[in-house]
Amino acid sequence: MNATMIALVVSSATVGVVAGQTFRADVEVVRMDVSVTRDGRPVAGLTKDDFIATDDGAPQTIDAVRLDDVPLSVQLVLDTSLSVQGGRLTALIKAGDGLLGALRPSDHAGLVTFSDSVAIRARMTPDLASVRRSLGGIKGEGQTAVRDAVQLALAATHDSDARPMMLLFTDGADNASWLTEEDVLESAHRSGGVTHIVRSPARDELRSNWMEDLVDATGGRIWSATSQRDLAELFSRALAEMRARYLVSYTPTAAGKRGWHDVKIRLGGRNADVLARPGYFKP
Amino acid sequence: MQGPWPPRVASAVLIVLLAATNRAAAQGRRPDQEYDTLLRRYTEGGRLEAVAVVAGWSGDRARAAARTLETGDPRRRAAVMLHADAVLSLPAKSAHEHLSAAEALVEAVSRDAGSRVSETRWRGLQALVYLTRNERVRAERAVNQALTIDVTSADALLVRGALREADVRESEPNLRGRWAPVHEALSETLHKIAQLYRQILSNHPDSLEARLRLGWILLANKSPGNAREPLEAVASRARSPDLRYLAHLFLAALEQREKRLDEAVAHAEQAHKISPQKSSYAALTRLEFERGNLDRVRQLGEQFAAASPTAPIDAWTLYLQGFTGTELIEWLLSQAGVRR
Repeated sequence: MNATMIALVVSSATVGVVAGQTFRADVEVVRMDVSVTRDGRPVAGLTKDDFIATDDGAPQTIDAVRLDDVPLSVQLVLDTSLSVQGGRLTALIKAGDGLLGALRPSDHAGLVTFSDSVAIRARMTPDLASVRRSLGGIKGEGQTAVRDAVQLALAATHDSDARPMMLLFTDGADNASWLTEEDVLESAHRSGGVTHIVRSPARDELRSNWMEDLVDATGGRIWSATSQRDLAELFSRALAEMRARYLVSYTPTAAGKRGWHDVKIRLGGRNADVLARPGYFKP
Repeated sequence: MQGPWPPRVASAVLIVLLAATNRAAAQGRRPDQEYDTLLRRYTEGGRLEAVAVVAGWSGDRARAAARTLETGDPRRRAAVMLHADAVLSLPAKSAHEHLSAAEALVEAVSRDAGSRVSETRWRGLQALVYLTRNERVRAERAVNQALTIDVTSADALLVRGALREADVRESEPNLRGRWAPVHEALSETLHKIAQLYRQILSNHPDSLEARLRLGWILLANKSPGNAREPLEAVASRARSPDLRYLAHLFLAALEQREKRLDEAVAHAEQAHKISPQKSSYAALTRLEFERGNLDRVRQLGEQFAAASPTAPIDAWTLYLQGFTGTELIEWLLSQAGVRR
């Protein structure tokens, strides 16, 4: 099974560990991170009978719904371009450190920073203390290559039983990437992670909806900061949002085609906002 | 560190230094021994060390040192490049002071040589330096100064093109995006930039830098069919690794746009083989995601993780800053007698 799909389509060999279920050999399992909120607050206490899922329009039988206790692998992707200096950089480091400090021993984390270059400062590891130490060496310089950074962070995702989450912080428009917006959106569709974006007031006017499209493609959210003082709070809320998600899994009822599968997940008989990625790619 | 000088070089340098010292003394100016030593080190293999020292000088110190070089002193060319080199490692304010020290010397060098070729090319470098700092008005002024001397200056016109490209990127940050609508005004601007590069090629048909930029602009203007020829020419003919790298990277984008993924991967792999850089990692992982070759994506991700913290500056980043190859800098360094 390939690394970036493992969070979405899980082979029978590994799913027993991941979801505590037993599946027939050669059958794949689709797992989706699902956020359920009402009036902005997580809805607790749901079971698999509350969810309705379709895969390319075909109704699915939900195998399991789990909440909170599956470990996370959090890829921090932080903008360290020239505009992130001084107090903003200090606040960013503090926010990153706070998030890493809130992770559990079973979680993993990695650190990617970017300006016009992209650096993987800490590979995905359960050694959270080493990732926190990596935060200390960052400084703000250069232009902004956020699209390339997201792409390379996606590529640097390793096999893991954890739920992949990318937490991207940026405060400006891209002016140095090689890749296009569409390039990265396509890769995000093919990856298995959920992307949350914490966006600081941009010095450059943002002319596109790329970030909104990116979180939509992965079932994540945008968190808008009004000042650098908000960063720690928003990082914390993004993590809490991930913890409050349901992990919905199902075994597709028919042998699925290769390529894109549209997935729709909703609640039966309850009013709530359901947020999940819109589908998955079967390689 | 540099080794002992060969006897002939040592003699030649000694004669030059003595002559310069005598001239300075005759004109009532005191020689600057530290500066003399740094210039010698700069030309004789200790370029980085000399630049590091001079970059730490104040503007007054730099200008005072430059003034000790008298008319006809051949070290003036080296001094110009020493200060220009220092500029590239300095914050803006200090950089301006070093650049002004170099600028005063450039005009003197032209008078010494009775030719303004070096001055024109140096103005091109000056414009580039300003462009890398996004000081576009100063860059444009330096371009105009170069074109006043030589209206066909490829160096200056390339910087002018790079300036126009920077303007375009500001109005459309996702220029290459296949869904980005290229509206009529933007398309017309890109057309004018392409014309500028064609103008360079009409006077300098061997300019692979102009050919590369022409290919890129044609690709950005949704004209991949016309972009192919100049890009393939650069890929096959350029000796500069950066030029070949960029040509293959651009050709990968061209093939991707034409939905020929295997050909796109082949070009991206060729670029990557020349020099693995952020942009080639990004291009390859993107294309392999598209092909569903996720094992290769993972392999590239691991390689990038190992290489990224110490990676040199990306050729694509340099392209955005106006640097298209190193021919200009190498020419100026060779004119300055800097041993590489």
